[in-house]
Amino acid sequence: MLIEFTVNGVNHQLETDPGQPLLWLLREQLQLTGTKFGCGMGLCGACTVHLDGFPVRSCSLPAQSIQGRSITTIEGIEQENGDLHPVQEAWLKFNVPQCGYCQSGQIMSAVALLTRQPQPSEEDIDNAMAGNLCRCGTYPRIKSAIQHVAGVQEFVPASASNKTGS
Amino acid sequence: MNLGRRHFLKLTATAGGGLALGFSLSGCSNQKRDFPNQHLDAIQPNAFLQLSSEGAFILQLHRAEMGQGVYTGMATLVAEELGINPRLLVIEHAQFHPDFLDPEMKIMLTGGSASIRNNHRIVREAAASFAAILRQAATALQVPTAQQANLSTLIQELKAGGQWQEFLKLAESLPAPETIELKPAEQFQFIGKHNDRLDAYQKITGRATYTLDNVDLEAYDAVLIRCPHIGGKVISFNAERALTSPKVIKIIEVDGAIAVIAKGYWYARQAAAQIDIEWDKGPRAGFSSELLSLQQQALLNEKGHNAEELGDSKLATGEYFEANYEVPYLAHACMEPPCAIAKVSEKTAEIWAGNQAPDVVIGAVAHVTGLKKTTFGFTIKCWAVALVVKFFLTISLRLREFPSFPG
Repeated sequence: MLIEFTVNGVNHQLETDPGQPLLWLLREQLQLTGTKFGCGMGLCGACTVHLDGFPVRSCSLPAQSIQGRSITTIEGIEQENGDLHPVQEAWLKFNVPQCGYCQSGQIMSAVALLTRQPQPSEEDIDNAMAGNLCRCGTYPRIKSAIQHVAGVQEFVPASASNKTGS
Repeated sequence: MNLGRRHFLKLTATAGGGLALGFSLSGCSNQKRDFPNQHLDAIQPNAFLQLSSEGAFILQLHRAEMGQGVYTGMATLVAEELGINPRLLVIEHAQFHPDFLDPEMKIMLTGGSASIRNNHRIVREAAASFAAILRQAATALQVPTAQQANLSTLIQELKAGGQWQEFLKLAESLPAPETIELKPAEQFQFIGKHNDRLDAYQKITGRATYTLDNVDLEAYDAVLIRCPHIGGKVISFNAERALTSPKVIKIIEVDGAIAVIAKGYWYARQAAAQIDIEWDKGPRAGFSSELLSLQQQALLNEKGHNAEELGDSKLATGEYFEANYEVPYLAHACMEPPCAIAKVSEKTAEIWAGNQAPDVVIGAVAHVTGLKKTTFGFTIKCWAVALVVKFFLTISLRLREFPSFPG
């Protein structure tokens, strides 16, 4: 089956089994490896991308359902001039990532949330982000970064420590 | 084979834990020093550090960044002694070298909470020693700020003053100093102060390359079906239905498991679900968490060991407290599924595998390919990864048996 769709504003035509998940079209056929494979069952969120702006788990989205649709991946949220998305800037500011494997998915979910709800409540954040797992436990910093973008969290830099000893 | 040029061609500055191990079966280096990842025309006084001909400091990060922050931590220690901003360091994932062994555990292991604990002094000394050599060379060239300026500034001055080439040549010839002084804590610019993770940018933009992100368009994709009981193995299997998929290349038995080889992960995974397998469940068939719990509870009826005695038993009030705690299982699994890429030819094996001990991986490679390499001790986690590598190596080798495959 020939699928026509856009990814990050670029049109593509790909030959694929209609059941092949979008995740593998992106990673294997377009070499966009920023979107990660975590569970393959829509349970961990590492594969999160946007379908017409809405967050979806690409590991469970069959190719035939994206015919004529528009996909945005982690590679596509930067600004035209190379500046980072405000969510990515906040991620840097709050030193969010550790191993980093879940972070593409986390960011895509956060961007989708803040686009729909620029000032989400804490409960809104918990609900929207619940499907993105992080084994390193970066959740508190994720939350702070989202709240910072929403304008409700001031950035407080960690105080410099002056411990003695080599 | 000239290892220097070979490794120069393989350089990647991956931040996500992907590690390229390349080595050849025949010959050894004719470089005067046998350090991995040597850059052409760089000066390299030790296994850890190089100064490129452009003036960039390059660090071999000899511990795996798994989210614990060693990428930033190790770089900060080095940057402090070099007197440069940690952000200026070019960081490369190290390949195996004896100088990278953990001093206590004697393997190149990232684990045991030992990365910074056992290495902070080693990497600081490597950096301080290099800094001393460079300052000595600058002093010999009569650069006035040779001893005080931070090294980035010094390098700028040497270039501006037209002394750069002379400096590099001189620095390369100088021996490491006999004694090294590390920076005292009161003078720290970065240790304890620099907190921003150096790999954050790559990780938040999808640029960091994890194992499977090292795309090789010629590679096949394989999934393993292993017996659900530890120690079990395949008796027989029927792959008729699975083989009807045009994307499936081969389905073979590998070390008691089944490997489904296809062009494309999803096709391999779909085909795997269509294989009928008869398992020999092995010696631990029927073992379960419920059974284990019962066994452990039964042990409570036996006489116990006195683990510790505190205080004077004559002062005891006669009350005693008893509690049984049972902790639920926790999958010790990271977000990235265990995986590896193996490219094996007659004389070389190239492996991409997130792992905690490259020398353990090398041991697995040697075992499967017949290379003569020493094997080292290993922890359970490392062995689990080495098993994955071993499976994929075996698959890669078996593929070459089939005449229809390109070499």
